[in-house]
Amino acid sequence: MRFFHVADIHLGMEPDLGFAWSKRRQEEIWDSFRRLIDAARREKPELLLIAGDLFHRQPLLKELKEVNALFASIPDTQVVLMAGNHDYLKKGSYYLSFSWAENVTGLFGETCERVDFPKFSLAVYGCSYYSREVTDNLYGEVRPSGAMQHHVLLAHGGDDRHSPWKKEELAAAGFDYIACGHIHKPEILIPDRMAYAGALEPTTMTQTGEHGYIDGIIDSRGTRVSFVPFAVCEYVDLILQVDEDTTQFSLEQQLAGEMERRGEKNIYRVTLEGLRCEALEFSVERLMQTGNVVQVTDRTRPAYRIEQLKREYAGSLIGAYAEYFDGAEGELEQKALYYGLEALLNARQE
Amino acid sequence: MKLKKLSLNNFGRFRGEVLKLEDGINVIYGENESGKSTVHTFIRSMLFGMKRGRGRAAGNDVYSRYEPWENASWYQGRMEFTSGGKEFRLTRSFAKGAGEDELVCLTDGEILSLEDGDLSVLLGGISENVYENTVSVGQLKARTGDALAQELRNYMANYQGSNDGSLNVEAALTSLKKKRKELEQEAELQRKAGEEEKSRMYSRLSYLEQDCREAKERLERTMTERKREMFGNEVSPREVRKQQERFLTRRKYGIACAVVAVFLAILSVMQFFGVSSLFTRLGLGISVLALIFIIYQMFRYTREEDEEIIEPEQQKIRKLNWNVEYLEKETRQKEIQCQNLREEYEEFCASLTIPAEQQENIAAVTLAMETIEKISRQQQSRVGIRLRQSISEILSELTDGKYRQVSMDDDLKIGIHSENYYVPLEKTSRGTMEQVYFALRMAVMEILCSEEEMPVLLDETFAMYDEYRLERALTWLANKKRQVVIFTCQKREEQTLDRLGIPYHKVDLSVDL
Repeated sequence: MRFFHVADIHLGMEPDLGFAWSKRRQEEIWDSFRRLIDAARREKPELLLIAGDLFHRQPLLKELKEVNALFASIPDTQVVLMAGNHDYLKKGSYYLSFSWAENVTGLFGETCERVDFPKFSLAVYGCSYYSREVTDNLYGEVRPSGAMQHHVLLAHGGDDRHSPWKKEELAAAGFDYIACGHIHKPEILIPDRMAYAGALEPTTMTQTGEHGYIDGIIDSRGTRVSFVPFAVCEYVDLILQVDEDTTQFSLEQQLAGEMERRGEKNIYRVTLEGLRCEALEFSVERLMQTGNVVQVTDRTRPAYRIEQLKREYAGSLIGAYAEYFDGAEGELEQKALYYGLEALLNARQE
Repeated sequence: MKLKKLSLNNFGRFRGEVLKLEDGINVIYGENESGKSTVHTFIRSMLFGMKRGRGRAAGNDVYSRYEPWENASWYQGRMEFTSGGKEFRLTRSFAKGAGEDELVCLTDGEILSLEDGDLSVLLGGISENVYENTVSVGQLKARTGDALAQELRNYMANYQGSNDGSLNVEAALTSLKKKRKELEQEAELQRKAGEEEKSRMYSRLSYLEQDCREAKERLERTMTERKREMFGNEVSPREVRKQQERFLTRRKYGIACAVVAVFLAILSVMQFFGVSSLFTRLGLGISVLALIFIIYQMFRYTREEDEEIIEPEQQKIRKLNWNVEYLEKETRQKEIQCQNLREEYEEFCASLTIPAEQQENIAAVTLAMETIEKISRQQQSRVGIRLRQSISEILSELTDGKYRQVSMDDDLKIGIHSENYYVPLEKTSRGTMEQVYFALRMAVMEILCSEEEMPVLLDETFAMYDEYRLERALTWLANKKRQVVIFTCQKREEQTLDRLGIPYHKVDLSVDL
């Protein structure tokens, strides 16, 4: 039996609110979900597991209709979904009153329930969130039961405020596979046993690297899973090294070149490092307008040779100042050192 | 340290030039362009090496300026000096990639290491910066009175505050303050942009909330109406009219019924008294039939009326039911939209903090300012009192007791005290200011270069001195028994020394070349 495991699709979310690409990303999230359904139609997995946070917020009726129509278009695949902490089952949620297509099963209980699929001799376990935060482990008690051969758990959370669990304990319960959601970075927690599918599309700049879904098989030989990169966009951490010859223009050129090379659809988080020409300060704002740049962190330092300055100015305030911060590791102290030196050196009377 | 011999093997305009210097006062005389400042630079470069500018600055640095006019790859000098009773020879190559610099003790033949800082030890640990601001004395640069007083004031403040004559601590702090302001403004701008987005979201939210409230009210109104209809607490005017009609019709039938009944009764009486005829019997029969018909009609009409009235009422209720259902759906949809937007608004508000990076930058600038002030204060309290005493002593000697004390108040106002009065620095003559400046530098030198007595290099220092002041200054220097090197383009120093009978050694650059 083959399955797709996805999570944290966050339909309706506008990532990077306030940036130019925000609306485009909202569309791309929907598009990727549609592409996922296309993939399921093509490859016909027996099961599509959605481990929570299909929607970023409470789904509207029309949105559920849209999603349901998509599910109905893959009648050969059984869809099992649950509500996560973002689309949790609040009073009046359409999730509960909606009449789903035949191949869709919602695990909307407050505690874990079991749904059997005798056709594949499979039982799927899980429950839904009824509030934004759940500080008890929702999956502490659930164990495989019943007459089915294979057992899959759908679990959402894993951090302190969202059903905290220990992966070893959860894995020890004896499921063939635990499909986890909530953490947006894809991660195989226990090989072929337990994994976060990660968000289908990354939603904020901290979620660097590939995103997609998990494609797995459960049969008599056990479980095998593999990650399938699927997202159209990636957040990329870009470190630009500057030196004393770097100018604003050359830096912009360098950034534009890097972005072209790595893909212009991606969104970049840029860090500047190295020693810059003493008299120069880079314009972060201009760099951010060079492309899809969500953040620029300037960690460059003026190219002062601290040791040389200490020697040259020994016995003077500048020397004493450099000496004062000598060996201070903290970022704050380092910054203060350079700010102070800059001011002091500029205040020398020629 | 005393300088003995300067060999400018190939430096700037000089080739194979050897200048001998003696103990006591040396006068290096040369007209403009004869190379006085080259010699000056040579001494500094020998003592501290020559650092190259980087990048664009390199084109005009000391290295390029004194690069030999001919044979630039051999860019070299040698200097002999005594320190602590021993003689040393220092050789340096300035050319790029040239051979090793060399420091040899001529007294015992020991080769010392420049890398390990042996020269620095011989110099008593003074740095290039301290050297430039103490040992080597030029003229005050400012030309106008106020600017001059300001320059001197800065100088004094900084000597007192930081030991470093060239540094304007106040200017450094001011520029940091400006920097902090810039950073804060940047953060403020960002905050404002966030606030704008927030208020946009808020107005969207309040519009939606209003919409939601209205939908709810509509729903409630419809539900109340339905309730009223269903339980019929009130009767509509139409119904009243209908009831009235019904009543009238019934009364009509009632009267007809009574008439027929009376007629029937008369007939019955007639029958009773034997007035029997075919007519009465027939009338009786007809009357009974009419009575039955009327009663039937009455009942039928009433039943029909009731049915007709109930029907539209139910229709209305059914319509109200549809309305309620529709409005319920609408309200629910709107409520969810509203909640979603409220969540989004709350999350956005929570995310509206100044980025940590910016906060750290602002904190770093603040820390830099605090640290500079702290170090500056520490040094001030360490050096300040001694320095003031020393300046006062020197100034007193230079002015032959006319001015006895130099003071500086908290606002850095410098004043000089004579026996009877106090003069603020700005009010004194240029000559006096130059004297205060000279006294200041000599005093600082005594404090900072206490480990090793350094030669005093005076570069056109006395240009603005009148005869009397020059005499006093030269006498003071002669009494100090230091090695003094005076660079001048005038003859007056020599003449004054001759007149005072102070021995000196003269090097004439214009003659040698």
